[in-house]
Amino acid sequence: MALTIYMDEDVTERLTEALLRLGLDVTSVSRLGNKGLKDYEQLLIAAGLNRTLLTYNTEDFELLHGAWRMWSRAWNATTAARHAGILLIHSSKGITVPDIATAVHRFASNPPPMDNRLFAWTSDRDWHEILVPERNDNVRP
Amino acid sequence: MTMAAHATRDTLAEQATPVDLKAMVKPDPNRPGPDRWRLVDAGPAIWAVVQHMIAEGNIDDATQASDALVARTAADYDITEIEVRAALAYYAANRTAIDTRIAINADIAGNH
Repeated sequence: MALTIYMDEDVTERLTEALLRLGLDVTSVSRLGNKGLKDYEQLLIAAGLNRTLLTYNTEDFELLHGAWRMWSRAWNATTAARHAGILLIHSSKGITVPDIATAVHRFASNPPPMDNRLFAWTSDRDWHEILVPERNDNVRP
Repeated sequence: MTMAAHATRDTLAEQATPVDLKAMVKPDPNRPGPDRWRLVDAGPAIWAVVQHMIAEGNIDDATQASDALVARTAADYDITEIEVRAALAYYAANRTAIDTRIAINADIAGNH
């Protein structure tokens, strides 16, 4: 089953339109009137919509994903606390919107299980999963 | 935003002063630091605009972007050309901070 995607606010409208033309089920922060909200609110909205969040803001969402994973585990809430995945994109010199759209379409057309998982794409490494260290199980609230 | 609105605002851009351009960018209320400044009215982050221009234009220095690339970037983000130029003016004055933000994002995506 193809992914449904929620585009973060720093992603161009042109990429959203390109993915829609490729037949993907995509909406965005701007289309839903959610501009200006905090990143943790955007992730919660994406989770509530059961949509994978796609963002260029790699550092902040890697941090949020790590906190989500670790805190839900610490609170024994891993079943209830699930997001539908995060896709981090980095566009370097010469990587155009059609390049990114093609990569996202390829991933989204045959996605792995996405619950509480984080994947990144660069032109050099293609798609790869970013894993959160599990070593702090002794940390409790 | 309508084409007419773009055209009107971009015509005004021809008379824009550095002070006008500075008024079009602001700190991110959710994230401190010069690397996080954004265009006003919930516009995109400066780093995102610069990164997009380097990628789309296949250039090393976004401040050297052609008029065509400025126009394309404005269309891609659904903002005005003067807002793109405001982002570039901020970038020119804060290059190290923005370059560092882009490098960190690249590192997170590519090296984990």
